[in-house]
This record gives sequence, structure tokens and C-alpha cells, in this order.
Amino acid sequence: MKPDEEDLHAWLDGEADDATARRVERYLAEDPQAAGRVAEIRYEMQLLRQAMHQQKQTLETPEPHVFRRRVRQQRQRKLALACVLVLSLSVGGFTGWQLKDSQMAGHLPMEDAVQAYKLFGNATLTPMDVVASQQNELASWVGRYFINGNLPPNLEQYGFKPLGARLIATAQGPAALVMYQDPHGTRVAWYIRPLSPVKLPHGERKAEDVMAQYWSDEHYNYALVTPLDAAATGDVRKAVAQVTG
Amino acid sequence: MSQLTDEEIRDVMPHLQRFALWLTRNPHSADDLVQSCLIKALTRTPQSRDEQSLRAWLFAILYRQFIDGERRRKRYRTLLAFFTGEEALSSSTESMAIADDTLALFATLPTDYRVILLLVSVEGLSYKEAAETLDIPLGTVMSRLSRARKLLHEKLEGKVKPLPLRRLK
Repeated sequence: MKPDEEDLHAWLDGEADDATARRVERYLAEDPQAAGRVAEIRYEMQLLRQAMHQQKQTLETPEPHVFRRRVRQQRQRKLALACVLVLSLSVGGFTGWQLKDSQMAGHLPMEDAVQAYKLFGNATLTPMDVVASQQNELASWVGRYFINGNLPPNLEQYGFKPLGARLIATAQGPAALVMYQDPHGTRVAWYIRPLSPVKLPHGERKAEDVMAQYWSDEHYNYALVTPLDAAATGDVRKAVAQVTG
Repeated sequence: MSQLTDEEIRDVMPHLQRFALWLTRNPHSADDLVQSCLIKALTRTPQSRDEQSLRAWLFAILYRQFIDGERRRKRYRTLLAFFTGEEALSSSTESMAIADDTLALFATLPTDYRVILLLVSVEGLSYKEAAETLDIPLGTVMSRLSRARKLLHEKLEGKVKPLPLRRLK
């Protein structure tokens, strides 16, 4: 069988297996013309190799340390880039955290409830939107404005009867204050308002002469604001702390 | 196993330069190619330390860089042609001084042919090493080699035909 072109080249390059090599050698022995062609190729490849080795290299040949330095520089650039990225992320994060803190500081929790209590809690009769002494009247009034909200608590067992309620506008929507009073004229207020800006955790804080206890559900923030100087409010506070805590 | 040593870099340098020079046929591009090849190689660890396979490993890196570069250049050229309506000039041999007739003819071979002849006939890589360097099948190495030698032979014989029109890059 006559070997093909590729077999001849493989033989020339010493890449032919034994069987192919024998076949090629037999073929070349029988066909002087083919043998001549193969010899020419071999000669041309020698020519090429010689010419290559004689060709002057005009390229720069930097010392190896030059490449090492370049690799180091590349690594440092990448590292610097990564550092910048981390830095900008952390600066951003830190600033954001600071901003949040300062905003939180500006927003005392449930300060609006405290202010509303101060506005309506004094004895002089600031007019209420609804004046109701019945718990269920108040409940239906609150239910109109606050869908899925908790209804104002019944504080009668602690001696407090509902006095009336007042609707208040906030930037996030309506809020309401429900005022209660005991026979001694002590007033406590229950406050409801939309969740935003933040869902407050359960907590309490004192502001001057009042205490605000606050908590949240899925939809609203709530607060109970009680005067600190009245002994009668201690039980209510305890009860609220138990129920919401 | 560690990175290339200075000794290894010095030894392989002339081979890389020659390979890069005949790939690009332009001394400046060749310089860049050798540089980027060695920089890439210095971030890795060669699998084998013997001289021959180290060389093949570096040829493979250099060739990959060349192909990537050509692809970018081609894209750029197409883009340029699209906006200017002109075919940008392709690289030529004019910036290379070639005194030898054989080399002058060799320089006119398509890139694929120059590469395979360099690797197998000049650098003495085995078919298998050449196939791995160029990331092509062994059969392609063999057929390409046979066609390359045939074309060079015809050129040397004076039966110089115009280059085949199809681009082989």
C-alpha cells in the first residue's frame, strides 16, 4: 500500500510508528522520484533551520528581573485596586451607618406620641375629635382610620376611662391619640401611627415628666404615654410592659 | 515546584523571541508578545521542568496571547472599517529586515503554516507537543505540516503562486 503525504512527513520527522516507517522505506526504495521529493523537503527544512539560526535577532533582551518587576507591579496594581474597592465600600458603609445613627438620634422613638400627649394631656380642654366614654365607640372610630391595627386597650380595671380621641397627621399617614382619665384627673394616652420610618422594637423611654412605652406590630407603632409623677399609672405601665414584652 | 528561574528565562528567551518574531513579523509586536508571555508565565508554575516541555509550555502561552491579540485587533479593524469605510492595512513584513531568500519566502506563508514549521522543523517539537501548544488535534498538525512544506517547496522552486486568498489567521 502506498503511504500518503502525511506518512512521509511523519517518517521524515521521526514520528512514524514501526509499521508505517517500514512501509515508507519500502516505498521510497522502489520509487526514486518520491525519494527525491522527500530528500528535497529534508533539505529545505535544513535550509530553513540554518537561515533561522543565522538571522540576527534585533529584539531587545531584557534581563529576567525586569519581568519579575513587571509581575510585582501588576500584582501591586491589582492589590491597590482591591484595596480601593474595600476602602470605598467601608467608607460608604461607615458613612451610611453614621447617617443612620444621626438620623436615629434626631428621631427620638415615639417623640410624636410624647408631644401629642403634652398637647392634649393637659387639663384645659383641647377639643377632641371624638368625645367618647364608651370603649366600643372609640374602637369603631379607630378601626375606621387604622386598618388591621390594634384597637385601643381597655384600661378600666386600672381606673382609666376613655375620654376622647384625636386624629393627627404625620408625614407617613394618620396617627391617633386616645386619651384616658382616672377619677383623680390623671391622664394617660395611647398612641398609634404608621410603621415608617422604622419598625420600632419594644422599648421605653422617659422624657421630662412622662414615660413613653412603645412597641410595634406588622402595621403600626404603638405607644402608651403616662405621667411619671402619678402613682396611679404604675399598674398600667406594668401591665403594658407585660403584654408587649 | 516554583516559578521560572532567571536561568530558565535566559535559556528560553531566544526561542520565544524567534517564535514571536515569526508569528507577528514585526519586531515591536514581538517584543510586546514576549513580555506579556513571560509576565503571564511568572504568575504560574510550570508542570514540568525539563527544557523541552518548558519551552513547549511557554510557546503555548505565547501563542494564546498572540491569538487573543489578533482577535482584538481584528475586531478593532472591522470596527474601524465600519466607521471609516476603509480597509485598514494589515501587518506586513516591511519592518523586518530579512537578508535570506528562504526566510523571505517563509515570511510570506500564512500564519498557521509559519507556526507549524517553526514548532516542528525549527524548534524540534514533537507532533504531540505541537498539537498541545496550538490546542489542535494531532491530525491537524500532520495535514497542516504537509501543506505548509508543500507551499514552501513551491515557492522555493520558483513556482511562486499568489497567496491563497482565504485568510488562515
